[in-house]
Amino acid sequence: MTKKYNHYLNSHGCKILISSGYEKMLENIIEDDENFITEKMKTEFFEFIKDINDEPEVFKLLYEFFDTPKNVPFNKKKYSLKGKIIDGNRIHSIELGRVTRKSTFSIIFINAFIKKIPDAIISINDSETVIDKFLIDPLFGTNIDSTLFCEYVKDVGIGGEKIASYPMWTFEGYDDKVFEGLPIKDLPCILGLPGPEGTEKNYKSDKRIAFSIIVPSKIDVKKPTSFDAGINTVWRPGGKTKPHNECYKKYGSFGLEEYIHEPVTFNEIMSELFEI
Amino acid sequence: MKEIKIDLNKLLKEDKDSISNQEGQTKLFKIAELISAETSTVIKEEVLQQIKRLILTDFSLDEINNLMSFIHYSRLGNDDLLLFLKNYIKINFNLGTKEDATKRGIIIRFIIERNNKLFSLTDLRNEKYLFKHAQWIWTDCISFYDFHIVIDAIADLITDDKNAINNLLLRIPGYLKRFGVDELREAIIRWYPYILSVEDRHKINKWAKQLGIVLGISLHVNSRINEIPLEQEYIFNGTE
Repeated sequence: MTKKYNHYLNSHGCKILISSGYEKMLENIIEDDENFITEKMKTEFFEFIKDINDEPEVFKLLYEFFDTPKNVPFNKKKYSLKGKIIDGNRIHSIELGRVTRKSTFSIIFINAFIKKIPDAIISINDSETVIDKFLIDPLFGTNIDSTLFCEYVKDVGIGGEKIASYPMWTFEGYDDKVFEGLPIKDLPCILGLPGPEGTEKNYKSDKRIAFSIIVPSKIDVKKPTSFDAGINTVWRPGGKTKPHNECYKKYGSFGLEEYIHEPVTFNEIMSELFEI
Repeated sequence: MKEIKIDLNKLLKEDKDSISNQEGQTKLFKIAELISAETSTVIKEEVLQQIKRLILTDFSLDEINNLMSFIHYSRLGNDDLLLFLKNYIKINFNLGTKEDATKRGIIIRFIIERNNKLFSLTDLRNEKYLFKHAQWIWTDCISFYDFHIVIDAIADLITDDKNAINNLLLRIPGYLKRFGVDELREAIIRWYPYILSVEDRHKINKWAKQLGIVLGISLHVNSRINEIPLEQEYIFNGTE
């Protein structure tokens, strides 16, 4: 760990984070590549929380910090999407994988309509029903055409709407077809996805879905940084996902190349929606 | 639970888009998930009280929608809260504007989806502004009582609303779940003559088939041609 930040670790804010189990988050920030998360940015982070002596207040400030400044486009954010850009055309020609909570995807599906046809938006229940109709159990497979969901969203008029209103984390598989050879049901463990508290605990607690996308060349694909990971104890620097301990025996410490980028649209979904 | 001090108003108003994790979950819905898993009734009760204190008339459509989704995912939508919401809209969202009617409709639909005994078909027929300004949401509500009224209302919407087929396609999976394949087949056959655009007819055919509804539509067109309004029959014959 870089010693130049050691004195901050004894500050009130850092002590709270350490006692709450978020020591790894601090380590990640300290160890992160200073070509991208610069010494100045790191110092700003530690200065921001150093005098805070109240746990909820520290977490509240962290949310604010990582989202600074609020309500501006992603390219104007001070601390997010600052990682290394992946050069070349290859990254824009292969399928990248995306895993997200089913609840998040259902909400995004509704939100895609809210600005377009607000007086006709469907309920969260019906949104989940639509998603359920297209979900496929990867263990049993299906005859459904892989582009069916994509066709559906085009036909209902939201193909050009964004899949997320925030940066998307994606990963690369063994093959240009991202799910080839990957045990889809184990992806949350292989990818080391966090549970509700940003830790490994209860990481399986919510239903998730997986699908693939192709990122258009107008969107930069980057390596995530500790500032993109935010309040999180399961992410590690180095550019690869970090499997949870639970599947360590099965898959070892092997991780997959991970990326972050601005949101793509529903049109860029390339696969079925797999139920995890 | 890390955030015991939940300020729901702030979450809905200011923090609704704050990023929570790699999967794009927002802070608002992360809190909903935490509450859903929470065993402490004290925290749940505190959040319920906060919901009751919110001044929803200050909320945008998107915030009202987020609140309903928040209640859904935090599993706080008990009858007590549903009754509270019902009483709330007795005196609020009555302005007769499109925005007010839509917000009102989103709340009514939320209540009915969870307990349709809290409204009657007559109550819904009396929702004049909702019917006038947010007819798709009105039909969603009605679909919990009488699908035949929905079928008629959608036939009218297909004629009047340029987004009708998109809005209908969105609802077909929900209708299928509630009414089954046979009812929906009959409904689509009833709607089909009102769909004038060839592209829209293709869409309906395609998705009916994909969702397991066999229409046998060419037979239908011949047998029911007399039901088509004259001006539509002209266009219909002209394009076939």
